[in-house]
Amino acid sequence: MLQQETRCEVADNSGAKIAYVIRVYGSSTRSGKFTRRMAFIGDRVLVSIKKALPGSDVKAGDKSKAVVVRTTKATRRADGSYVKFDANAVVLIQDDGNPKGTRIFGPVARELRDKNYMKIVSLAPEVV
Amino acid sequence: MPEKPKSSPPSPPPSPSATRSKAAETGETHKRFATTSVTDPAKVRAFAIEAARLCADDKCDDVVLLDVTGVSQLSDFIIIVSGTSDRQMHSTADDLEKLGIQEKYTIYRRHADERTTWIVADFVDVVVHIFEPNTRAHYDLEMLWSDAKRVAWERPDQTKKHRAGQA
Repeated sequence: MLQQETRCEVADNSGAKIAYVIRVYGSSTRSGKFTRRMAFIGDRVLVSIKKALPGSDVKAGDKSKAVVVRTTKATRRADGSYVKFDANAVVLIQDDGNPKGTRIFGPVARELRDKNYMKIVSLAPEVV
Repeated sequence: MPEKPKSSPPSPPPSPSATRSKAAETGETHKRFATTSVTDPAKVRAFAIEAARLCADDKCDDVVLLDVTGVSQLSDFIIIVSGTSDRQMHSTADDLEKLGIQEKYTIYRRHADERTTWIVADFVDVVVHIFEPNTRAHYDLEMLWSDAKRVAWERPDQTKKHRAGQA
């Protein structure tokens, strides 16, 4: 469960290590103003990179779109089970939805497949 | 007073090295994950081979069919192909969708970016990746699934042609 101003891990090899959520996409009021909203697994957020590896394409201070792949808040599944992770994590994506990195670190939730992020799931070593 | 039967101590679980050596003796491959498929494995394999042949018939290059049963938790077969143009890649994905309807494998999800560098057609048991050649080299999915076995998908009469690059 991420919201504006949440710091989280970046779970890919784009070079970014820590991201800071500055907007959760996908919600607005009838009059067009943004409402405060929580981001869960499979939601798109706008992040600012706070820490990045030197020499990488992504620099600290850059803005990027990202998808939430792990949350510490448990996510309920249709069979009644819950899945939760040790830390919140996002994966950086380009504007067209392709991942910026070429590999994903750590497990990702199966819910991403339902939300049509199959490209991210394909690059992940483990799907929970 | 009856004596309590002495319970034998529980046997320790086999060590991973012992399991590995046993698997090596019996010739079994070590599988990390069970199959995710609920359908007949033979049908899934036949559909994957048919989809790979369709991609080749649609003039896709470098068709690779990987059997990831036991390696991936996601699907049983992965097909990776290179397209030649946006339109050709989209038409291949459309043809795959039609093939899925014929074979009762309705497509679950399909995702393409605006510039059409990577199209993913997800049939649950079979996932097809249609790449633009540069994008394919960038993401290098074949390296990621290097543990998986390659499946021969060519028709018997076309094998030589494909190898000679005449198809």
